[in-house]
Amino acid sequence: MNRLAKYWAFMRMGYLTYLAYRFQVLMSFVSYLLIIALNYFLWKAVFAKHQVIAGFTMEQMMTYVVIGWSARTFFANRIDRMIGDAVRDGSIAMDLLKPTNFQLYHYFRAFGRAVFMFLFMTLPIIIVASMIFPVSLPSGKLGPYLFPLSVILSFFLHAGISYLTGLVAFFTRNNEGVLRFKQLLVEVFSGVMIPITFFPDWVQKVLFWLPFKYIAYAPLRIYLGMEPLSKVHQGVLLQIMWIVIIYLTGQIVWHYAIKRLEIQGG
Amino acid sequence: MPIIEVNELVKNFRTFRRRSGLWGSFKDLVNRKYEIVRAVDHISFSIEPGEVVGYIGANGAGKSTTIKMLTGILVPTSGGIRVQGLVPYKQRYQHVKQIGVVFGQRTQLWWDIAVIEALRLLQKIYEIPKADFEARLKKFEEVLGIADLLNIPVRKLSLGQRMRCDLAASLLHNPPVLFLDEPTIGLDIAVKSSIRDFIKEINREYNTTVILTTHDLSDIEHLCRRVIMIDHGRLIYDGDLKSLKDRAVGRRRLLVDFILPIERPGLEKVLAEYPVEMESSNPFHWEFIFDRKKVAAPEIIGQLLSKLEVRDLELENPKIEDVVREIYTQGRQVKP
Amino acid sequence: MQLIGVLFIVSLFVKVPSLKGWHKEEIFFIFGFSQVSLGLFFTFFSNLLELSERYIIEGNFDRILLRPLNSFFQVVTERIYWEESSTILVGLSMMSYALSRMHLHLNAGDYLVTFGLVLAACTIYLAIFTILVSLTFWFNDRGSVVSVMLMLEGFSRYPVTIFNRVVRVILTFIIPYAFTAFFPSMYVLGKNKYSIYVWMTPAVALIFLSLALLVWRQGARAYESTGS
Ligand SMILES: Nc1ncnc2c1ncn2[C@@H]1O[C@H](COP(=O)(O)OP(=O)(O)O)[C@@H](O)[C@H]1O
Ligand SMILES: [Mg+2]
Repeated sequence: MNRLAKYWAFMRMGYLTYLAYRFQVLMSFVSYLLIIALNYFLWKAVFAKHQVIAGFTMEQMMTYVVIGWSARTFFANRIDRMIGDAVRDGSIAMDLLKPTNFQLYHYFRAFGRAVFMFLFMTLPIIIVASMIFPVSLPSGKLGPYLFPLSVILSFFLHAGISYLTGLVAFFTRNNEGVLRFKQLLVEVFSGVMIPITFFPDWVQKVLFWLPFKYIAYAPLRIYLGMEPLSKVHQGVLLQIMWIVIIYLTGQIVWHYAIKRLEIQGG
Repeated sequence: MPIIEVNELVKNFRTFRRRSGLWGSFKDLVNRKYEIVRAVDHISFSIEPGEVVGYIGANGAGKSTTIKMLTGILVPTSGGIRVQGLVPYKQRYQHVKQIGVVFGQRTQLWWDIAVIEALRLLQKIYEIPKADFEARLKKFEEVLGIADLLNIPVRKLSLGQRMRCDLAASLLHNPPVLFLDEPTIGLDIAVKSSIRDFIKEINREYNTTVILTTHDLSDIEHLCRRVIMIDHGRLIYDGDLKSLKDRAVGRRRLLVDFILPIERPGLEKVLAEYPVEMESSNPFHWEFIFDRKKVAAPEIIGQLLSKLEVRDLELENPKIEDVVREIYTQGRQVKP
Repeated sequence: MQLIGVLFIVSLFVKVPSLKGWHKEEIFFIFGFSQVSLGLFFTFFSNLLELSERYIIEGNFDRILLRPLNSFFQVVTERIYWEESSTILVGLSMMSYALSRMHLHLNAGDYLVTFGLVLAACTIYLAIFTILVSLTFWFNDRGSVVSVMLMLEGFSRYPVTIFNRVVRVILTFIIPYAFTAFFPSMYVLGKNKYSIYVWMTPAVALIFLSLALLVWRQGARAYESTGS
């Protein structure tokens, strides 16, 4: 019970932190609407001469864009940056003094942020965007039920990837390059930028073995009802599998990371 | 002709009040409650060339805000400022060329470059002739003892080292007016006194006008003849240091330890003829508070020693902290 | 992270041959142009984006105001970000790829004009970002306008003809992103229909820069420093 209270407190902290950033929230809101608008015009131009491209119709594509970018506000996190900053400015020492699982501490803190984002970004964006642009409701039998679950799993999957990236700071002081590389991978291969069916076949094959497409592409396919039932279940199970694998990797890397920290002397 | 003139100066800040709790913070997001804080409230004074003025007051009194307006960083809400005939925030370039500024809390130097590079950059910015620059640098190296620090990046300096470099930087262009905001905050005694000596010397040699804020009152006692005191943004005293002390610190405190315990009625009998207030934490230790204009300390001490057995006694000297507290608690304006 | 946009356009054109009558090479040229001028902005003027965090919230703007130099000039030039010059290289390679595929040959004069147009486009970025960033003087909330700027920048990379009328008018006259890549690119791409807009580019740059400096000046007067 006590342990739960602790993580609840971290969540609350993550949530509250962002309430201070009113201007930023407003600005991000505007940015997301802008990027959705840009995508809208772009796809409209693209679909002017085609019915189906890379397996998507115009309607599906618009829904994909709006729901995808809105969901991104929810599953995005700053864990990697926070760990990097804490290592560099030495405040990591304070984190280490806390009698908690460092990884879960970051997951929950970020989840608090995600809850905040859901209320003040994801929902408002979906509402405003669906008034301006053509968006369809979730389709298929399971879409409406499994999509929310799948997006929550996306959050934990992405949190794990960020956490692992953040730990790199323990090994190299300057982790900016790694952060950018990870961001590039996630932005491009999660499927938010463009559905991965647009990529050449060999890229798609490689992506099958990587966790990235389960962050956005898989949940969005569920939303659009583009997958048969069996594939839907498989997708969710793969998400869970990746979350577990990455969590355990995080635990192991952490073990080595704190040793490094002691050697470096903070 | 005064070199600095301040007339009915006011500065308001708009701050927003955070509501507490989850719901409160939600309300903050949607609808903020703003509050106007008046940091400086109708302050007027004028300063003649060559004066060293202590600008004092408790924390949050509005000292830094005043300095920021005098140096052109902040635009006043209302009221007038003229420094060497210029309005600081309007004629910013001319103004800042003729002043030196040091904020104890924050360096004016560039964090990542060596001190000497920063000083050279300032030479270019302020268009200081090379010969003058070299001469002043040499002097500052000697007086402030910064010769060894010149090749170190600013971020690696200790507070005391950084402060001395900042002071040198602020005086490179030989400004007629020097503003110092808490220049000795957090420094040890040795550095403090070297900084004080330096300020004294600059003032003597170049007739530099100095305004110095501090809440370490020993700075003031060492440096200033004139004191301006503010509280809650209002001017509560402007005059010389000595008469401030005399005027407000009539009250003194005598601390006495007795060998035998004694209660209030007994003491009241002994001191019946003297206008004295008394306080005690235990029957062995008593504190007597009196107005030195009404009764002299030796009289009370003599009376106590003759009637009671005293183990130890101590007469507290008037401190400027008491002055602040005194005027503060009385809450009235002291006209110089 | 500009690379993401490049990957997007490249992936898109694997499956799509043209965009509302603009073919791949033309799109790549416009895109490259925007990356070059944006890259120049990022390399030399990125420090502007630190205004909110480093200068206003941390109170370092105090120091800027205490120096007898223009505050805008000081903030903009206090640091150069060489690492951002990769964006310029990416843009240049896209432009040259497009040029070679289109078999367009430019003479020295064309290069000179293009270079001038790139500088004007960079100035427009500077002006737009300055106006946005100046807002933080008034909203002295921690927070950045950087994200909005980057999203907005997306609108400069594509032919304005893909947008509807309202957006086109906005991008031409209000937030003049159409002048940071599309219109100036028309010089090299030889669409004479747009030549008047090509020559308007430097004028737009100057007008918006003056406007931006004005907004900055007003903003700097609203600067409140920090409580000690
Ligand atoms: N930038 C600011 N924004 C809001 N309030 C401020 C700001 N600067 C100062 N204040 C408030 O104005 C009052 C005076 O502050 P200051 O001038 O820094 O006091 P002092 O230097 O005497 O300690 C304080 O209540 C402080 O909280
Ligand atoms: Mg202060």
